[in-house]
Amino acid sequence: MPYNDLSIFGPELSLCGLALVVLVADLIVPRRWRLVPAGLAAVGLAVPVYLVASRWMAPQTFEFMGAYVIDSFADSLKLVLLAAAFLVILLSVDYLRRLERGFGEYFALVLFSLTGMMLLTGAFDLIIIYLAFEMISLSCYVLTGYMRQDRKSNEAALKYFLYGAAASGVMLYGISLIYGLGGSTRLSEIAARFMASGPTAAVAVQPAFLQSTLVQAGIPEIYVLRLAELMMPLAVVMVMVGLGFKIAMVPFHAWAPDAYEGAPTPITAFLSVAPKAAGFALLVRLVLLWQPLLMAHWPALLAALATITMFGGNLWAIRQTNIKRMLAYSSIAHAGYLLIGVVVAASDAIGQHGIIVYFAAYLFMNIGAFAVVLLVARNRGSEEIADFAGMYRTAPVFAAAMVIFLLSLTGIPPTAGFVGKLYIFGAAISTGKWAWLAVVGIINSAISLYYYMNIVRVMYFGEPGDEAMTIQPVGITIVAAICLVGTFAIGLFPQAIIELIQQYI
Amino acid sequence: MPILSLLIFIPLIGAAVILFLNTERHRKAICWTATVAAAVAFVLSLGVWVRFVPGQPGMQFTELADWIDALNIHYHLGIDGLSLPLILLTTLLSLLSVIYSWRITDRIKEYMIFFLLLETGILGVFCALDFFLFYIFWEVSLVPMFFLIGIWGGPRRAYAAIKFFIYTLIGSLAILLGILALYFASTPHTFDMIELARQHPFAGGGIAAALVFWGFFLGFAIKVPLFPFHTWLPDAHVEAPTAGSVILAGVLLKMGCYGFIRVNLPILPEASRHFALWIAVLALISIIYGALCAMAQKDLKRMIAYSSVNHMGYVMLGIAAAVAFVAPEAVGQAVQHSRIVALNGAVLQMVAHGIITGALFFLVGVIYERTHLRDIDAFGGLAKQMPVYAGIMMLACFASLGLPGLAGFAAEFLVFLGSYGIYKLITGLALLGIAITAAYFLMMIQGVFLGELRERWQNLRDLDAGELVATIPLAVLMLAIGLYPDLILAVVDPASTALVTNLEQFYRLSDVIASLGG
Repeated sequence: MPYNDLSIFGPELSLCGLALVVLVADLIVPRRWRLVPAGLAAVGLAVPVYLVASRWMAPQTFEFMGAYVIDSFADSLKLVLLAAAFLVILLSVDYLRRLERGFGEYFALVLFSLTGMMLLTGAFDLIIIYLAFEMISLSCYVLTGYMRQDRKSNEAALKYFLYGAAASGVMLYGISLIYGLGGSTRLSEIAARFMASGPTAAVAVQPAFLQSTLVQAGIPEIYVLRLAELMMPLAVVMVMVGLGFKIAMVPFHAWAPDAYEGAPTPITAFLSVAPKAAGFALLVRLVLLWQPLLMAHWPALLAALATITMFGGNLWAIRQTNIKRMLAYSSIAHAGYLLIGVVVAASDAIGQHGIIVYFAAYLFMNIGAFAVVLLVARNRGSEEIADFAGMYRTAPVFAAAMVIFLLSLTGIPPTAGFVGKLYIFGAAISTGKWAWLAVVGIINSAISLYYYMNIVRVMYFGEPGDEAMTIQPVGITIVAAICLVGTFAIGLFPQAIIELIQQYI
Repeated sequence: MPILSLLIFIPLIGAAVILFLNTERHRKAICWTATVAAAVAFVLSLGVWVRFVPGQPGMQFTELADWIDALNIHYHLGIDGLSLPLILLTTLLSLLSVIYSWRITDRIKEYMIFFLLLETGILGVFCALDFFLFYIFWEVSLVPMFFLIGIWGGPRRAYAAIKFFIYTLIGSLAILLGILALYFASTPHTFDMIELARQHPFAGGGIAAALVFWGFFLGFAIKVPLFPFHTWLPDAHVEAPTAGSVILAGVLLKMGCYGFIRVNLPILPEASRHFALWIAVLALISIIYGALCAMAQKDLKRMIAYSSVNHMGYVMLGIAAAVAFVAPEAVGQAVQHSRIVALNGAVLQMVAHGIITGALFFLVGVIYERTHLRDIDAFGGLAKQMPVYAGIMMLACFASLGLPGLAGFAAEFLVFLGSYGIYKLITGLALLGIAITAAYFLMMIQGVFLGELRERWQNLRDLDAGELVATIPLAVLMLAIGLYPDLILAVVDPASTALVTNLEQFYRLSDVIASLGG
């Protein structure tokens, strides 16, 4: 295994390089050409996309002495991440017009956080996990507070940072405990130690640092073993808290609505898709590798979390009057549906298939909805649901597109969201044991219909008050069009994506 | 020629054409496009009827193409004698509704697009033989109705539209779970309805079969609607625009009954038999309760809406009788005959109710448009002022209350004849529903058409050309089916005979296996 072969690391490296190029370009090009960095960022994404796509079907490979892994599952989510970044960059161009400076930095930060997310999808080592985590978080904090003149943006960034720092701290503590008990930072080695017959046996065979220290300190060995047995699940749960924060899982979601509402809207769209995809990639990896660490309780714990995440997200979403907050809660609910996929993934690969299909669908329908939100905000100056009133007349095409995105988010065919839900719920039913999660999922889909259709009601059933939405920036239009095509394409012709996934994952 | 595909997608093509027309400048063109599309669909369905061979076993006009190989999903269409009458009903009512809707002034373009989309969805449901396809069409028919009620409906339209959507979505999601359960229970995994009916994935019965059955049941019962899932119906009907009500009562409700016949009976025969008595009891409650509620209404539209609950109860009674459990020693020619008659009656009742209630909703729409009132007490003596209107309305009312010689009687007679052989007590009690129905329709006729004409109504016009075109064909059909039910039964009877015979064979076999096991 040639661990000096960096080509396998190409997508991440090229992204890093791209971010630096964008930064430098921002410094040297004159102000009136400030679209150049944005254009560079968008076009430059073609390189990592090409690198990922060209090796997509390659078998599982390890790099850096097993600290980093490449497989089709991670690569599929990397493609989702890259697509999300591309769409968000297009959405941002018009949004940032008010900025005096720092136009290029914004795109560089998006690319840096994207690099972190790509790393996280393949991370196979606790150190890399933590580094990727912080790389994502730090960039996202800054992006959330990017509108320095906007008090809401400031508040959002501060809240995001405080919650995020606390979550990182808890996670880091969990990581250090795992390292102490497992004696390694490699996920696979930790798993291997505990694999044979539960923690007790493994610890007894190979005492790691923490244990030997404790035994040397004069504590009887039997107590040390008991302690290790109790602490390992605790440590794993601490890591889960960090992850739960990243994917906005209830009860670690409290930051999301405020951060989503205050952040620049394109960043909200980014936050609602990309960090989640990265977080789920890691979550699935941990669940698969670390089943023995929590013994049989992993799936049950996740199933419970999935349930409260779905209900929490959907029930809170009903009460919102601000569309960004509503979509924030809706994205929490979608994390809940995806968690069903993780529960199934613990025992069957169909869960992983479901997660990928769902993310592909979610990418288009959610960013599409945000594109329409941006259009309304651009014309009306705020993001209240009431601003959508009479949109059937003031912006008929965008209103129709929004209907499609909302139907897709609800899971109505023939849209992408339906295929995603079909796959996730189907996966749950195929296990038999977790079929009740599919029932919870459909109850939640029905609840979500209420607040999604409320937007449709405002757009279509009321009378238009305002004049036509004449400002229709190119970037927003292109993104809405791409998302619309994507939503229908996956909804009507899912065979391409499904066949590829079934073949290679 | 893929005639079913053509039939399903002609309305969609019409809608696509309308998409490129301008609401203000091309009003006429929009109306004409919609009418032509609906008319072509109707003519095609007539062509299918002519070329349909009654009694030929299996599905006809089948189309089969690969779609999503990885999940074994196919584009599979086909019809038999149970779906053909409903297809004819759909294309006819859609065409008449589009013609009637020329008078819509507000947002005509979107209206016609939604209407044609709705027709595509419904026709798709009746033709689909692959569950994936079936579910897509099922949901596609939901969304346009939501908009039709929500945009062109009455004062509480937003409430009614969302209530309609949420109720039916809960139902369809339950169906989706059932579909997925069937898929994973079959080997090889398949969504094909014919293949599933052959495999009987849950033949052993038990809790899984019961859950799947009740999943489908919930979805279809909400659509029918069967008591106690009917509460969305009065709201949706009262708020829906006239043509929306016509399609809702005339066709959409039938999708629920059709689902029972196409899915629950052949694919889950054991559970269907096991729970048939429950369905029969719920049907009985729907019949009596629906009739009593209808009697209590002052609002004409609400009254007809509740009468739909009552009439769909007959359909469900017929379906329940067709699969009911019968003691092994009683099984024989007589019972089998009763089952077939009951199922024939149920299908005929679907068609008859579609025609009659469609006409009734058109006619209530007419009076509402002229007076902006639907209150029974507000009228009186209209027979003098609007003789043609009164004539057609009374004909429809008599047909609905089951006057011999009209469509409703033929259908209900068959349902009772068949179900009496199976459920004597329930059928006897259900007859009460007929009496109550007669009472409220007669009271309504008396209140609205007889007596003194009030002064304020002395300028009411009789039916205009558009309204006549919409209602006369339905009136003619009420008579035609009433006098010659074979018009419909000729295609229905062989199909229901085949279904009942298959079920009997299955039950006999499974009973033998059970007795051997015991």
